[in-house]
Amino acid sequence: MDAKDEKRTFKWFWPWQDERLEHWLGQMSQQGWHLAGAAWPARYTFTRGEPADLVYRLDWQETSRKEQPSYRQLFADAGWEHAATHAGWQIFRRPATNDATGEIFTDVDSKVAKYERMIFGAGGAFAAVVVVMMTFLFYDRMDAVLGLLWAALALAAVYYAVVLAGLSRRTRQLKRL
Amino acid sequence: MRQQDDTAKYLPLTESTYYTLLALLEPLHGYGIMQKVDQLSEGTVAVGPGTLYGALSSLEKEGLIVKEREEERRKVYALTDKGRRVLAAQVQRLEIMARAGAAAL
Repeated sequence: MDAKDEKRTFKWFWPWQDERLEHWLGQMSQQGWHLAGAAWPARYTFTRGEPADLVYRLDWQETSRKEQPSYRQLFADAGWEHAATHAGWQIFRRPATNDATGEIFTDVDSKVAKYERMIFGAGGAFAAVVVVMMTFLFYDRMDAVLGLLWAALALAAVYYAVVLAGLSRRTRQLKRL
Repeated sequence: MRQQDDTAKYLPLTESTYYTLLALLEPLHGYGIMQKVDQLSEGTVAVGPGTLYGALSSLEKEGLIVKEREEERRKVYALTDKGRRVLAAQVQRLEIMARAGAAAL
């Protein structure tokens, strides 16, 4: 493929800003840049095509490889094309419509459940990082390498704490509706 | 009558879950459920695939539905006896709700 027909963009979205990401992907498609892939930590690949009015929607599912085909088939049957996977994000799209088929989540409970799955994942990661950091306290020597590693873990712990706080806030907002 | 059996902890069901169980009185795959819900609810309830996938996973985990077979990447689910009891208990609650509402208005 011609390099001009492919574009890579770094753009940061916090895990609770999924609606912002959906909106941005839709805008890109309107300009003729359609999502082709996404990678850690925030890299999005687009391929050039005809400008189109597409709706992007994100689900969070860490389904096993075995579950993926039936999961995607369910969305495909409902008119949703699988565009990319990014960590636990499953990114789907379909041509814009005005009716309820424009949503993959049709009630508040299931939207909340999506964020709760993410909270569960981030909570587990946070706990794991903290446990590893604790074991470091029992080390007598602290050299440069260990120090760096410890700093990286501390950063990860802060990241997950921020993510947990943001996701909890988002969940409370939804529940108030 | 208060529910004393194992159905109480599932109640009340959300509208999507209620119609999903109701649709599964006959075995269906995911998209079949969506269409059936649209028909049963006379177009008042639409169940999106994200909502449905989550509902099916938790209903299966709780033993209210069971995967009967798989047809070309589509899982066909059916209601279990437990699912049927939960559904009946919900219908009873809804009857009370509707009766109370109709009497008051």
